[in-house]
Amino acid sequence: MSQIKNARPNSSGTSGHRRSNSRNFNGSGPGSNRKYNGKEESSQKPAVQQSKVAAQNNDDRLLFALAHSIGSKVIVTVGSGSSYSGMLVSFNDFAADSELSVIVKYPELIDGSQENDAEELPETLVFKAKDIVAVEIEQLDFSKAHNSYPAAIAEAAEGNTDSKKAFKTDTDISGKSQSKERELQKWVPEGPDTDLGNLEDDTHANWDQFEVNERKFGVKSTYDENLYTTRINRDDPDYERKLVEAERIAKEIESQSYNGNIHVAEERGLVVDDSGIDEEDKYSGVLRDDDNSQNKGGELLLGMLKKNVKAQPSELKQYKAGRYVPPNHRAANFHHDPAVLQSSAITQDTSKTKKPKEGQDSKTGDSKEQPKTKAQKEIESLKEFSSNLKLPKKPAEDSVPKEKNKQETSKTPSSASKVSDESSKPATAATTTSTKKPFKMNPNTASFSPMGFGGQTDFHAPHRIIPASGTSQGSFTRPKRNISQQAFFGANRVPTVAKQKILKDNFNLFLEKHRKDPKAPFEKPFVTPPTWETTIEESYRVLFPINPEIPMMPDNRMFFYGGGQTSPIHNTSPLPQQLIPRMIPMIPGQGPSGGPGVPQTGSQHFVPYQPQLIPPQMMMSHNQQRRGYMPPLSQSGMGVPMMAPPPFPGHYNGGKHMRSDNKDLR
Amino acid sequence: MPINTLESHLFDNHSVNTYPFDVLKNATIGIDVEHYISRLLSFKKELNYDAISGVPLTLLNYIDTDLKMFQELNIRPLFVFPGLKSTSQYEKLLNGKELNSSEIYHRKVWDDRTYSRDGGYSFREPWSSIPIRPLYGDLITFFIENNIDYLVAPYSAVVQLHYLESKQMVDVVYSSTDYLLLNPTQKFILGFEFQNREFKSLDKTNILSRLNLSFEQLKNISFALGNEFQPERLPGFLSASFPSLHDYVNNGGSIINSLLQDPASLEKFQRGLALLKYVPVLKEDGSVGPLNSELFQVSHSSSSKPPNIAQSANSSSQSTPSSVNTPLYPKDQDLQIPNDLHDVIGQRLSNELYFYISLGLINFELLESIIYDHYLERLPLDAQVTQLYEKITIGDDSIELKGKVLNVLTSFLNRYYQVKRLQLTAVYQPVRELTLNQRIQPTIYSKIRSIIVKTNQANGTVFTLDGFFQNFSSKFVTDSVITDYPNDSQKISQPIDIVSTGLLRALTILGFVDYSFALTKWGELLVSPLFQQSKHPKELFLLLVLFKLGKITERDLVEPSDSKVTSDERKSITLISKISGLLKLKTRPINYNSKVSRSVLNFRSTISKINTIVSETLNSSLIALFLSATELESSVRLNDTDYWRQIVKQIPFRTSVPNTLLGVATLTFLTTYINAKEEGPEKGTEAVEKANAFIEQTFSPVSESPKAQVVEAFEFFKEVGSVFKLLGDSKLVADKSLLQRFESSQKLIDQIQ
Repeated sequence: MSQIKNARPNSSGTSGHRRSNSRNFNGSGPGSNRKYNGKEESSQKPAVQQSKVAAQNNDDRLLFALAHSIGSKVIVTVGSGSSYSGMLVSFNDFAADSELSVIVKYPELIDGSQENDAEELPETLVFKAKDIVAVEIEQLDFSKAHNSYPAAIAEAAEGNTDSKKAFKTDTDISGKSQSKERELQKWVPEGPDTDLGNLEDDTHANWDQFEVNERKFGVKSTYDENLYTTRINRDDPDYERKLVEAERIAKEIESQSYNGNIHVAEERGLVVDDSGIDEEDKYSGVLRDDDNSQNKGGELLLGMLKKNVKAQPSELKQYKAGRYVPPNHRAANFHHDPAVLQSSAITQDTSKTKKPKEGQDSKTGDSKEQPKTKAQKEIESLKEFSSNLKLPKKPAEDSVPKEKNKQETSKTPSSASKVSDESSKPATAATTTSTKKPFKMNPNTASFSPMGFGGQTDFHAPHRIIPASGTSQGSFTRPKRNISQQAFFGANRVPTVAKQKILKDNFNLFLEKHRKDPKAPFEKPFVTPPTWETTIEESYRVLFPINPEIPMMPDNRMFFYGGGQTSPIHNTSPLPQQLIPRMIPMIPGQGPSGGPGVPQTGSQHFVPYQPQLIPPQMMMSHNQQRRGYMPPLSQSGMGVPMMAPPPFPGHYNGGKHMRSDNKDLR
Repeated sequence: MPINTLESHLFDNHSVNTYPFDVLKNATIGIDVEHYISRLLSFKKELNYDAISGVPLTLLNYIDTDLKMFQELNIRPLFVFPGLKSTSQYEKLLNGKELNSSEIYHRKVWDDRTYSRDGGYSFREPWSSIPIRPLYGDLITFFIENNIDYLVAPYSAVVQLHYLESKQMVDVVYSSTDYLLLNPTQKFILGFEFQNREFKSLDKTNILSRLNLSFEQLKNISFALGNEFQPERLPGFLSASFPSLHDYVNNGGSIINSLLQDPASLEKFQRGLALLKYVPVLKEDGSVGPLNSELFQVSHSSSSKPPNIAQSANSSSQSTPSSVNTPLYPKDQDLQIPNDLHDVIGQRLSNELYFYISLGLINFELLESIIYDHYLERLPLDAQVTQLYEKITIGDDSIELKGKVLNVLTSFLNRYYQVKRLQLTAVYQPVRELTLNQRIQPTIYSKIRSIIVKTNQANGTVFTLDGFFQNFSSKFVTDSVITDYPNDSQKISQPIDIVSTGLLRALTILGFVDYSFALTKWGELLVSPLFQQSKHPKELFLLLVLFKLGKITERDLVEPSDSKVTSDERKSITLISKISGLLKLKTRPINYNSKVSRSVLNFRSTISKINTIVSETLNSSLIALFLSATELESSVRLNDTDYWRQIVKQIPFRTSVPNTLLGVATLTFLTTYINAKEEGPEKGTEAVEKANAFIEQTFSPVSESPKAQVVEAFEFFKEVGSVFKLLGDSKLVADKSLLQRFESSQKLIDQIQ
């Protein structure tokens, strides 16, 4: 334990991890140095990449120079010939943007056109790359590593150029002492008395901060644990049972594989051989794939994409009721957005493959910085390669958006979370887990008609908020900014200027008659009878017969009248007895074939009467309780409907009413 | 009438989609005017509208703004008005001859307001929309002036829109939830939100799956609760709403089964289904008939058509093959048209009449009275039937006039309409039922047909009422009479000639000209210089008709009054303000929420009724002219829609009479003046200044110069006074006290000015 703690200051890795980044930002010497050195190493690359690496090195040198000159006086000459002097505050990430811009504070016009009055210069000037002709840095001293930005600002503000007398920050002080790299030594306890033990050790079990505080300072605490947590009711008759259950769950969780994640294993109290594992890798480093070495270029990417498509469904199925699912996985099972699925649920096999790297040297914790092993070098080179990777093959554009490629290949730890940020903001739980799985757009989404789906799968634009399945009837009243005219009108009916008709002269029967035959006699109004033309000699009452219907429950439960003597219908209709033989049991295996959007014509899905389910009275009273509405049926004491059981829970038949074929009751 | 209580349920269910407005670029939108206006002016807007009536102050402004928005995106709107009422809709209007909810509401609000003057009332019945029939003339005039396409459907606008959409004459339809009942496969617009540049849309398929209902179930629920095709809430479902029935059905309940016990409900239910399927539409070729199979195949093949319909139909055709006379499509159920459709839709009119309906040329009340045997009178907006109102609606003269008008209208219709027995039903309290007699022989038309006004004006001269009355003289009348059947040179074609001919004939029917084509005593008033030089001939003419039909007395004009004090001056104030209410206050488009007056509204209702009577008389004489066609030049066989629209636009008395605001302003002014004079020792001029200041303060939000317009109203009153003096001189008014009332009122005005 102590060994690792000691090792920490020297172990800042070469990757862009946040901690080491923040250190670099403060301009600390070692950070910069190490970075520089790292690049030096990488110059020992195969000849193919020499030139690229050389360019990279030049960039790095410039970066180094500029980083050291922050706070120095610079003179920037711009395209118009004017020169400005000022203090260099910052510069942009020119490696990424490929162009250097410089930000200067307290600028002064030294030489140049009159149009810029010196008094009008703002406190901060930004010089864009295209404007810069030359940047001169005065009194640049690479040894002056302490000349950090905050200190320089303080100096400049005070007008005090002597930094030694000025206020010093931590970095000033520590930077000075570390200007020369000293030999690191392993911390050795000085004696047995100084053994403080681990923080986790229970040696201070009797320590009560409230008690001490009250005794020493007379402060009475108002702390109540129950304000911050759920009170456990130990008097609950089920307490014992729940406790057992909780312990069972806890055991289950703890007995789950840690999937090679040593950090997790450590948290679970497992004894893991962590010797030789970098502290960063153990606690914070991004999990990386092991089989990098086998992949090359575009094939690598395409292969991964393919793998993902296949992998997705099987991984989703891992969710089982009653079984603990980590929060990031839960999101996947409640969302239907592929982005969320990809970014949250797919981490599992990543963590499986993450194992203590055998080839990795454990010497990072030692006082001497060892040369890297062969395997490490190989990993380094692959990282280098992947960051510069350009795809030899272009994947189909509609399936893999360009920027996703970039994120995929660069394998930055933020790529996954970025994707999920864009695609599903509510799934914040999901974004906390970093993953190396690439985001893959679902090609099927392109053909989604936004209105074509009912219910849960109604997503069509990446920015939409996807409601969890529990509230699948979520808000859909948000403007659909991306909808096209085609989507609204249908492909063949998009209105255009040319298609616009002048309707004025439609409906003019004079005109129509004129078109057909100007001389034909016009039908005189007195000829028109007061009745409408008919095609059959029947009343509308015959054409719209009303017969008792057998309503189907949405989940395929079915009502019909059974044996009630009170119903007037039964006097006229032989309904229930005749109907039952007509019913055909549903064939198992048809299952939930139809979604909500595909109503089935329920005629084949009649189910024979099976009287053992919920009593109908309960059903009805439940109904009344909820809405306060007494259905007319039960008001009049008509035959109480009985119910058939659902043959397949969850099956949906479109809520069709079944009607009898019997003749009109009237 | 949209599906009862469905719309909010859809919003609760998040079934309404929102789209950016740009999606509609270049589209042609068919707009259901009734739904559109109910959206523009929900019951929370213009709370005082039912107390001032007229055209809602903000309405045309709203439409204008919307039209600009359309123009911006090159959207072509087609406004479709609903036409004649179906049998069930008309029966609902008869409604067991009891007061309907809006009448009860208006009466209650006015009564409450009389007792407590707290204000804060909404005169609009909650959840009601503005009745648009009184606004047809105003809206159609507006559309013609702005060159916007419109169409009055023969019956339901919703079904007409469905036809237009299926014929791809419109790209998308803006309608109410009723549209869900027509074809469950397409999207339609439920509302515009111009401010956000968005619109709300419903997708029928999506809604069905979202509500977990089949198309049949949706129909069943909506027919139980009431919709366009079955406008009543059926007795078994009085306390139900769409959400509750939705829940009921989703839990296995059956609407049909609960209907089976009640034959009356079942009948209404069936009638609704039949109406939905067979509502006639105006087709491309100008004919009117039920939607045919091509439109129904889509919806019915995709929905679960109860198999028993097909089977029973088949079995009936099989069992009685000989009894079917014309089994054109015995097997294709979509082409089956039952033989008692007239019980569902109403009796059929000729295609030509439907064409005039589509132009907005006919008064529906007349046509509905010959279709449904009842001319219906209901309570006016102020919910009180005064003696005067009774005289002009159910008085003997009015009944006789109505009979004549109907006689003219039916002259060229099927003989059935000429002889059927009609009655006038006034749902006042108590209900009055009076016989209308349109069976007049020889027909009125045969007496007036020799009147043909040929002005010989240049092409394109527009008819104006002022111009007509300025030319009006006994010579003008005799010059316009031909002795025999018209020869070619006497035939007319220009809009101005047609409208003038119609109006002169109408004047004859109204009794200003007798059947020997000499001016009556009333007609002579029209040629007096006082009348001819008036700035407001239309309003004066309406008053003349009122005096003529109402046999007016002083009591008719000073009662009812807002003031309980019946001093002489108070009576004069009431008279002046009522007459002033005939003129229009020039208003700004705002939600008016200030003073109202029941007495001025009452007088407005009376004048509005007179306007209707004149308009009906004029329109039926015009329709007869068109149907007869013997007086029209054959060269213009009227196949140019613009030509027709010109005629429609030029017909006078089609627009509604103004709101009561100028009357209210005058009343406010005079009341303030009298109060100031009575209360304090203030002199006349100070009281006038006080009154001026008060109406400036009260009415300046709604109008620019209320003071000046009140002065104008005083001038008009003086004119009316002079005309009334003439009436007295001609012994056309019997009531001396009314003459004196006019004189003293005039003195009051002189005092102020």
